[in-house]
Amino acid sequence: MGNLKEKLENYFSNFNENDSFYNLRNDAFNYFNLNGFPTRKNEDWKYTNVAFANKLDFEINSQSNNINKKQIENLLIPNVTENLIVFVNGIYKDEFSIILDKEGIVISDIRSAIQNQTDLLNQYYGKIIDYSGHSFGALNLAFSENGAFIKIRKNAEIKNPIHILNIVDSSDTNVFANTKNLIIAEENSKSQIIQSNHSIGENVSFLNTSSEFVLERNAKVYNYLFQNDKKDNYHFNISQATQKKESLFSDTTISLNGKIVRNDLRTKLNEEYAVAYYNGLYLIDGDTHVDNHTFVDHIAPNCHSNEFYKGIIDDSAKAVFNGKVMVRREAQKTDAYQQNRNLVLTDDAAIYTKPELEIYADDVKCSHGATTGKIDEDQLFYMMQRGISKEMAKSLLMYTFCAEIISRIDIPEMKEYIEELVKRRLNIELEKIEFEN
Amino acid sequence: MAILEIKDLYAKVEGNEILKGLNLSVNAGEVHAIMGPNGSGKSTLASVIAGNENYEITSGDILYNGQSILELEPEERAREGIFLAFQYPLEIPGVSNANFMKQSVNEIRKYRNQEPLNAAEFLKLMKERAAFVELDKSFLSRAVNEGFSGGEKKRNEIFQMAMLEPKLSIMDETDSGLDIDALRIVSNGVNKLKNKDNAFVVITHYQRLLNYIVPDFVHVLSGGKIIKSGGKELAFELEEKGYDWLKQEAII
Repeated sequence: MGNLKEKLENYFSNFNENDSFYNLRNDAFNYFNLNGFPTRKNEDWKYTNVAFANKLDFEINSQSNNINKKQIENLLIPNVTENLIVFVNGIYKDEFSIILDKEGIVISDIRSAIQNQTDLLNQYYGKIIDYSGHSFGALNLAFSENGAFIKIRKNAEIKNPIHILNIVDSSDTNVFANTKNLIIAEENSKSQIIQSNHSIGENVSFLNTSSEFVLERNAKVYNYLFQNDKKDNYHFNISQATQKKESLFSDTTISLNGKIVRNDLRTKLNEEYAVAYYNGLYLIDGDTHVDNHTFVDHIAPNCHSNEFYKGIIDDSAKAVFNGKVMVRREAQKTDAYQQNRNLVLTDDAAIYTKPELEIYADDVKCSHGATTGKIDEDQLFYMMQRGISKEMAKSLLMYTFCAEIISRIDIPEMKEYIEELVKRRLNIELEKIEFEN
Repeated sequence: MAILEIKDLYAKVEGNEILKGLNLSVNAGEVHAIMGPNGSGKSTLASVIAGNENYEITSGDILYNGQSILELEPEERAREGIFLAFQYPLEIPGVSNANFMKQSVNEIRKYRNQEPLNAAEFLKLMKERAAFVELDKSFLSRAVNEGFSGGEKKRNEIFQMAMLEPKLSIMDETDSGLDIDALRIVSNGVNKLKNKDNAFVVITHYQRLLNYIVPDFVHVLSGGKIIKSGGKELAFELEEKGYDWLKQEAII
């Protein structure tokens, strides 16, 4: 075993029973010590090799004072500037956060919430995500010192998105940073949450995050997880929602870069008429590896889920899509759809796609499909026949492939931001051409 | 000098020889109709002129303004002024007609060392050319051919032709799937574009189109080569008698 494991031991010895989450941490760390890092023999990690965790030396949640306001500003989504909560190496940065005291919403870091929102934390924190089979999830619970706490009050409709900004500063050393968020959406509330992950510095960063979402009756949460980090960094995340009657949880996960990116997205549709939408986009090249593991658990009848992931895999990049839909015996009249579409551009690029439907109810509508293709030669020829270079035609077709997911982003500022990033990445210019009379 | 000169051309697709010694010469200001039975090589001819890589030219040459184009990529041929109106125009979801044409027009202008059109110039040009084929401007912001009817797709081809002002236009069964109104609109569009400096090769099964786009020459393509050429009256004769008598004649 390498250095990280020792570092974890040392770090953990600093926790004691005065820590509010000590028992949770202890159980989780025991789980990790018992199971270690997953190997490729583990079905959920078959195509994602995490040997780096044993090989690389990381400092855990280390202090960073290298970051200035200007750097933060560069990471913001234009015109999404209210409700910003910033973490650097897993440590809350009050000086960069913009938390306006507003009606209908409570935003704070988890540590402050321990004082002010004790009951909710006791009830939900660390209780929603099941980390069995996921040692990184266990580590996240054991080692997260902080995270975002968001409560959207009953009947509140939050107009401005809430942005959780996670930065890893690896200027001085390799860093393993953990944060864990808790989002409580009370009855009839509506909110939009963006989590974006970034790194600064030349050493290796490993950001391990999680979010637990509690959706009360008729609550609506639109969640976005986004990263476009450097090529040698690791990003792991688990998002898990638990949904009550008529609630809606919509997630869009966008992965554009990194060394290994692992996104686990799960929801439990516990009560009738709950709805879950999952949208995903990965646009990767070099030797980036993106693994999306999703799980929709239809527990109650009359629920609906719709999942749509698309990806373009270039160079020797690899992608994994493992989408599981479970329809339990009581979940009659379930309506569940899942689709995964891929463009694989080279012989070295690969997608391992595995839709899994497990259905125990008999009156359900479920479908799933996965496709893997290349760029359409006929479309290319058509565009080239209009004088457009092969390279540009290819880029345009790649863009249009992505656009189907981008167009589903509900926050206009976010949509524009992602559009621009993807266009820049593909080196294309497409303008809005307006037609007046 | 001819705009297009095809010399003893042999071409195959997926191992099958389709064109077998085809000759054709098209001068500026002329409209040539190519007619012929199914499988005679009409669409292959269109594809090889445009440079579709699925077709392999085994011998012969295609000259455009006196220069061989066999080594040119499809986009270079397009920038040189060769336009193919597709029999089955492709759909490009996510790219508007306007953006598609902007890319196209400006790439061609760049190739010709011209400044790109600015937004106002481009809009003006688009509106003017859309009117050629009676396309509403709302059409321009829709994705290329996505959800278009057969007739709309063909009108869009002629709109694109009008935007790019090619020297040589190949129309591959542009009339197929068109009702009489759309046929009239498409033909009017083409007639407005005709001038003494450009040329059209109109591939069709039916004489009907040639009532609207009147050819200077009609050629019959059969078995991979041109077996008869004549004036526009040849099209009427074909409409009346079919192709079999010509095939007989060719054998004799």
